[in-house]
Amino acid sequence: MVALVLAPRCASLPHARVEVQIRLTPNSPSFIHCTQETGHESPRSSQLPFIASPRLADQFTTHNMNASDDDFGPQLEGSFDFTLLFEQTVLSILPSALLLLSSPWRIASLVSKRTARIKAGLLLWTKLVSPHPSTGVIVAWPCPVARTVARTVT
Amino acid sequence: MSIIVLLGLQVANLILWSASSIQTRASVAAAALSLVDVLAMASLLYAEHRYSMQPSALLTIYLSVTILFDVANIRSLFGRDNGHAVAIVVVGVVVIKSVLLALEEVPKPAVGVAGASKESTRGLWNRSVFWWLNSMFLSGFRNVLQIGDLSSIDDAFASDALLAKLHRAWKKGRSDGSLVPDTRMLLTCP
Repeated sequence: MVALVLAPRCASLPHARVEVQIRLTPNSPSFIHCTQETGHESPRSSQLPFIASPRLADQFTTHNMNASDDDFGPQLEGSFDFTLLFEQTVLSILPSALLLLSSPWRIASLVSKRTARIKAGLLLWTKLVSPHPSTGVIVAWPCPVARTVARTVT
Repeated sequence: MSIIVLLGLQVANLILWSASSIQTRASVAAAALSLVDVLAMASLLYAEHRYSMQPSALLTIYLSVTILFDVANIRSLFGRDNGHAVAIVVVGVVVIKSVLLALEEVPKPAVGVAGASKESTRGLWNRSVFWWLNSMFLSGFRNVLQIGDLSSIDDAFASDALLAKLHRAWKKGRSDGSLVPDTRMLLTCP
């Protein structure tokens, strides 16, 4: 298609070498360099500026998947998939935010009711760190964090 | 094999997203929020483990739902040109979340709580498919069941608690001493 555009413009230059420089940002000029090899003389060259049409730019950018992944979607255009933006907002941020908002209340009600006192045994350490309790020092922080959260909420 | 590994994976996820070429407007925010979420999960897990007989329903629901969502995310990421590194990290996240979900179903070693019903110490999935009844069915299949073979009923369903409530409602009820309105009141809005 580019060749079709160039053909009439460079028809006046036989044996021309044509270089095309297309800028895909809107309204910035692109250039067609036509260089004519003429034996011993220095090459004659000319520049033809033109503005790449938006449709041409579109055809280049659609190869880059980001363009449609940044749409909300939910469907990724033309394929059986969600867009990444939809997945990150609805399938990731939403449940994360719900847990973050609800966990302080739940912790506060648990700490204030104290319906049971379970020993911090092997099962808890396995959940938090590793099956070996000697590494427990690293993760002793949930204990004060839980208490502080409970105190500030109640 | 647990929260601390999940924390590491979410840090890796955040770093990968912040330098990714397929980044969207929400990528870094989602990854950062997932990282903070691990801290909330750890605090919640600790509090639920120490102060509740029952495994955490909130954590179980969160883990089950997000595992499903993460699998959808993995499928999408493997379909993108530069998404493979992040996809592999998310696979790790799903594995660790599954381990946590399984651990959350394990009944806690209840210390000093004799006579607690089996149902009240089982996890959400266990209770929703009535898995805790299987041991009783099995012993019923092998022997003839006696009263002593049955485990005690959950406190919420025990008639003792209901009787005490009815007694209270009746005492402060109308002067004509009619049982029907009080019972109806008690059962419709307990």
